[in-house]
Amino acid sequence: MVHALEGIRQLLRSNGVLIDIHPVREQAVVEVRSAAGVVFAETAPGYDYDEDLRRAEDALAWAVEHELFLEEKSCDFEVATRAPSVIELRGFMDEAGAFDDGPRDEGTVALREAFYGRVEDVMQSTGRGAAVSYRERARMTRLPRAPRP
Amino acid sequence: MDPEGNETRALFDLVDLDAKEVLEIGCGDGRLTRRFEDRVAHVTAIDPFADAIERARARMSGGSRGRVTFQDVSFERFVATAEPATFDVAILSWSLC
Repeated sequence: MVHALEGIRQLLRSNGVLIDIHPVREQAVVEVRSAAGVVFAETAPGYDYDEDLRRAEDALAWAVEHELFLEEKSCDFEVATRAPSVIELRGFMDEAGAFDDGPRDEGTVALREAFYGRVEDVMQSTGRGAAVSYRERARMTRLPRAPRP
Repeated sequence: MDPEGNETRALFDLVDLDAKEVLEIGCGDGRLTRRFEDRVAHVTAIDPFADAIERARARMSGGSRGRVTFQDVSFERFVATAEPATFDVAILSWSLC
């Protein structure tokens, strides 16, 4: 990661800016809504990204400490992926590569299948107009290239 | 994805992309690229997954094609061949971790 940040600095002009976008250390939530409001909201099971996120944050901190970039400002925001069915939601997420590509151990896969099975049951019992969404929080940071020789 | 446009709003709040030369690292299927490409002079959008880049190219509207170059290449390979000091903005798109 540190090498990647050094490479980015090399590619930027002297007044260039790096924008980093990555998820925050907070589990995503799967939500089912009907016309009346939220009928289901639970943390989505999956690979624990904490260690990867910590390494990413450490790399950014290193790049600021070593004057590759200046950390100017950041903001947190929520990204939702909505679909009319669980199958379509999972299709969108798979296509976007947003589902974890971490270790796919049998336990995690089984847990996830059971979870989405329950979400599907909620969708069926909610009936027409139900929609499912995958909501995750992310942070965007603006890092101007530092004026280092 | 992101029907509220929260990510795009945050991006436009943090950086002026108007007429800029932009590098997007980890563009995937071009989801974010399509939301900002109309502002920039040019965007080079890279991703190591060829199937994602294929989808990104297929989904880009005809009028945008001159402004966007998609490349299926890893960042390591890209940086080894790219000219230094080429870009005004680099967007690390959900790809540092």
